[in-house]
Amino acid sequence: MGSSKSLYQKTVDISQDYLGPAAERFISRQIDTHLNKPPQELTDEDLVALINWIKPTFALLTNNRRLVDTFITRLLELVDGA
Amino acid sequence: MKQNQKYILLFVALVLLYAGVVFLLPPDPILYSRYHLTSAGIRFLNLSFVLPFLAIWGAAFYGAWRVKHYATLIGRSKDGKPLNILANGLLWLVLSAPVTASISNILMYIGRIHPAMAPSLRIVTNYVTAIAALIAFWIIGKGAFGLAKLVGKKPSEREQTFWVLLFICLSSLYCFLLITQRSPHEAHDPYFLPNWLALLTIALPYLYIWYRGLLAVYHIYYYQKKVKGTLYRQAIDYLAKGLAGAIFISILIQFLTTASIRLNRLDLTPLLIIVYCLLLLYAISYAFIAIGAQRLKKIEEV
Repeated sequence: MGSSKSLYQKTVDISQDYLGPAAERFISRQIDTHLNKPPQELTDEDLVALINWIKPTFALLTNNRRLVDTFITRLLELVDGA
Repeated sequence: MKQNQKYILLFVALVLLYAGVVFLLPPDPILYSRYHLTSAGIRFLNLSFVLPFLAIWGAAFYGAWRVKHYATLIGRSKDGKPLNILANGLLWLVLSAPVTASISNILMYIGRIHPAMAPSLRIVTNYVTAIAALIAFWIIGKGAFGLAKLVGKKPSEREQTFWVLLFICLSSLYCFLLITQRSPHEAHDPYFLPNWLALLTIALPYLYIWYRGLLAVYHIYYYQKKVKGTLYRQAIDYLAKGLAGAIFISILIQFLTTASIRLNRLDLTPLLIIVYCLLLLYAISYAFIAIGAQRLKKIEEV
């Protein structure tokens, strides 16, 4: 069931553990602003660039470095799995 | 943004109305003798009450306005709708405060000119205040329930029992105080109603308001506990604590109203200390609401 999800949905699912209902809006905004494409068209090739944008952006929301690192590590696992 | 500016203008207009009412109406002559103050002294005393009130209402408005701003920002999302309802309730609560305070001051002044009308005017003031609170807490309760529904509201029996027992204790104590701490024929009686009518038309609405308020606190607390998202939950936690504070202070004020005959006998200093402590707690509650809303908004801005 997990593998049938789009990459975008997997990214949102991980983000929800940190941003709750705001996660989908957060990820859509990052893709739209930094990658200039509709969120559903997120590809494996875009993922690293997206994570590079997400890291400093997410760090603006919290001083908890461990939380930022865990979030980014989990997103990077998507790259390894892709 | 235009809609948000309208709220600011409305708030400023209502606050100016209240300040105008307080400073333009002649002070109560009883105050001269009770506190041995001159006319200038009474004006200064008024100022010492009005300025903190304005500051606190300003802080409260800022908190409610930030929640509204955030709710507008995420309008179409599933958490946007209940948060918007909650924000409307908070705005109603905050904006109705200067309105009811102005009405109360005007009616008290009319009551001083026409002493025979004073009891009726006090009754009107009590009902206007209760209706304003009823509307605010009904809307807040609806928004909070909407949030709890998002995470599948299924309260545990233990939690339910705690809240029901808390409410039963509160209700019993309030009704006891309302009956025992008043003298229906005294000039300073807060209700001017026979006991049965005071219980039916003052105690009952307020108990419903508190029930709605406590339930709203519980629903937001439940939402905060169950919703996903470490950072989101932290922001909602501030909101829940702030709202809980605002509701508990509203309850405390009503408890103090039942004891107003005793409070009226106090010296000026302890009376001022009680008022300022309440104002401070009120400000802290809305500061929590503002911090929560600011944190939520920040997530949407990055």
